[in-house]
Amino acid sequence: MFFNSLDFALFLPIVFICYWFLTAKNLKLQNCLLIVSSYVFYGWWDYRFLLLILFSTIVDYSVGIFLNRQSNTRNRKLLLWTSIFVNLGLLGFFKYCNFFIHNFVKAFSFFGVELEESTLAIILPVGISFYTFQTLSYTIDVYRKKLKPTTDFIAFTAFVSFFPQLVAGPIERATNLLPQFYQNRKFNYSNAVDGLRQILWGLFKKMVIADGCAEYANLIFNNASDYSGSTLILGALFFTFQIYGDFSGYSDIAIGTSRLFGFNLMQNFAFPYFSRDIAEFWRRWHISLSTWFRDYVYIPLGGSRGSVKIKIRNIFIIFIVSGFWHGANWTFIAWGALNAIYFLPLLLLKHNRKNMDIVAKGSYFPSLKAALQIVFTFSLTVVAWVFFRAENISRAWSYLTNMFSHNIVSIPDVIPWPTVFVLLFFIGIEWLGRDNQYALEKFAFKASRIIRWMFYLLLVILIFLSNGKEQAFIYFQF
Amino acid sequence: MKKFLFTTLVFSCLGVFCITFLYIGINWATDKTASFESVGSPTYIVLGHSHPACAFNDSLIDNFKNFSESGESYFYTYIKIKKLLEQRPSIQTVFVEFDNYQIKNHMNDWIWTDEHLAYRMSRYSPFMDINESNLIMAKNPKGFLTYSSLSTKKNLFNLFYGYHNYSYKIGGYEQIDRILNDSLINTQLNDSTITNEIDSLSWYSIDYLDKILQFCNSMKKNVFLIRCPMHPESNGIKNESTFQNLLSERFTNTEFLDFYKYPVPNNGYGDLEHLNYYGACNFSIWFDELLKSDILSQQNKQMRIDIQIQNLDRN
Repeated sequence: MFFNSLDFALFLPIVFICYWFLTAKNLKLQNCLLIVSSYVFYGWWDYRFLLLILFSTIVDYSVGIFLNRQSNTRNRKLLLWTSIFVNLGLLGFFKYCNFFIHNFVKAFSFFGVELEESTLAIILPVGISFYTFQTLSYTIDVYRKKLKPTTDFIAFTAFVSFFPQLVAGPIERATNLLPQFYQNRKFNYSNAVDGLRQILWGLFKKMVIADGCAEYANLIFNNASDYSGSTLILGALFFTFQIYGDFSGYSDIAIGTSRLFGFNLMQNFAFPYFSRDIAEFWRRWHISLSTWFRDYVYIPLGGSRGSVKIKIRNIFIIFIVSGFWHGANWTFIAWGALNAIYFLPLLLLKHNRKNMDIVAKGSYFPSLKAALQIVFTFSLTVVAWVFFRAENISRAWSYLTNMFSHNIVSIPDVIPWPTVFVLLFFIGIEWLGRDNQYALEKFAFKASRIIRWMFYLLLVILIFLSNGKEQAFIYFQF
Repeated sequence: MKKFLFTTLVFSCLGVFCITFLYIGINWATDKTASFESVGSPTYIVLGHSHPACAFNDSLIDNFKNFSESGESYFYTYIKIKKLLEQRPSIQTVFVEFDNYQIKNHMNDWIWTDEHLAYRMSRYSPFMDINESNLIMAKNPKGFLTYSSLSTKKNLFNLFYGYHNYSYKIGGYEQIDRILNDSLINTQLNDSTITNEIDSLSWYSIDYLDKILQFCNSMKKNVFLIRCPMHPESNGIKNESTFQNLLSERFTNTEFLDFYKYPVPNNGYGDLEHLNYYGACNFSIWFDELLKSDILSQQNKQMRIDIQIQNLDRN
């Protein structure tokens, strides 16, 4: 079920009413309702994959229980590796199996040994990369004794399958989300209204910005050889906003929906395109994944401590693994490696923690220096997104070479003015709301309610006008 | 909670009101500004789906305009004819394709499935009356809502950029260059998507054909049902008896001109149901002569047509 579908528009109020009116007095019943709703939500795509979630849930729940009973380090490690093996095994099989077969055959053919390639007909279960990482965080935290293992199977199942963030995050830590399933939730008016506002903003980002940009990004990327350099730049810009609108829009809807049910999820995007350097960008982009990799991969590898060689190695590992997490294609690995190259100078010069606060805090305009830094960082990310979007490395490379080689200073062949104006409107709102969790959180709060509602209704109308066919969220494929 | 539900309800109602107002307003403005006029003043027009669209090359027929369009059901033809006759008084005679395909149950899909709504809602929603909108909403509410937004957006752009001329968007001669060959015949004969249901009819389609005929009569236009040439091996005629029964029981007051047996060699077909460019040229020239022979004002039209077809066969 997509968040931007009519099915969800019916599903959400039904679950909301049942949750607060039928099951509010019994926590267990409320959690059970969340499980049923989550399984319905997920099963809407393909009910067969519910077994995978259930399997992953049972394995990690059992590993947690056994970890608590074991004091022997060797046995504890064995249990941890069991969970890692099962979760990453599922992910590896469904997501990377064909990629490895294909590249294995290619590698052999490079050395003159011709093998017959036979890939498997595997469908990638929606959201597998997200929920496997979420359950893994539970087992690792229990192993590290940061978290007490739960004995409440219903709460744990609800935690793994919680529908707002099941298929595309935020990848919640068990330490944050799981305890919320133990506590009685009380309805809070301002939280719920805030949730609805965030859902509205998320839908606007997805349906107006991302889908609007997608139309032209696809057109330009699919016919890249026909267009001038300036048009290709425009195409890359459209994709840059498409991916942001798409993914951060999903996160906003997920966080907003959770608020309606009395849950608080972590912020996943903090206005990344206003970053002044790449390190800041990565602190603001897909925060739940970046911090996951930081805590469970980067720091165990030694982080930024040790020799320069170790630092470089760790940075490349973390970015390449992060890229590979997005998809089984060399383009994602190249995207990760390119970001590592962007990041390294900052780390080596110890400038990576220079810009911790939001840009131009408390003022309407940034300084010239900050503005130039933003433009420079943004340009770097636009170039990197070309690898992310392209079908393969050679296409990405030819896109970039064409982008910088012919007619770079010319009027683009395609200028969809309505989309450009909506994009400028969006950037303006995001800039004004950059101090908050999401742009609309306190937007126009000083204005009267009528003005505020008129603004919200304008968003509703723009969403309505952008509604064509339901477009799947890009991050579902990851 | 009460306050939250009340506020949400009020906001939702306001949202629905704004959207409805926008949808109706843009449709109204489009309806008022839309033009179905174009160069020339045709006396004859033909309407229907892909069969007439591919069969009548209107550049070869005097005072004739082909307004047929592939995949169009009578539902949309009805909306179209209302605007055409309203805005083009030169039209005196309307030919409406009536063939074995158009009575089959799957014609319902041509009215309200997503595939068809995606294309036709933006063109025709401004000209639909409440009954048409209600039918789509009842049969495919999700599709109606989805494609209402798409059509509102498209029509808003049309209004903004001043694209008011609809006569180029509602049909025309469709040229097929492909030539029917044995492998294509075999493929089509084995094609399970061409249904052979006999008893299952699209009553919605048939009702709208009735409405088309009634509307033409009310506008005092001559209206004829016609059947375009089809390949003898076509699956389309498997429900011939049902077709003939319907014709004689329900459409007795409208004359039926059958060109089904018009002789076309295999190289005049694009496939078993559609004439290609060569076939269409031949047929259109012959049809032009037929009109010039004043066949429409004569008695026993079908008999005369059959004689002419037999003569062609002999030649």
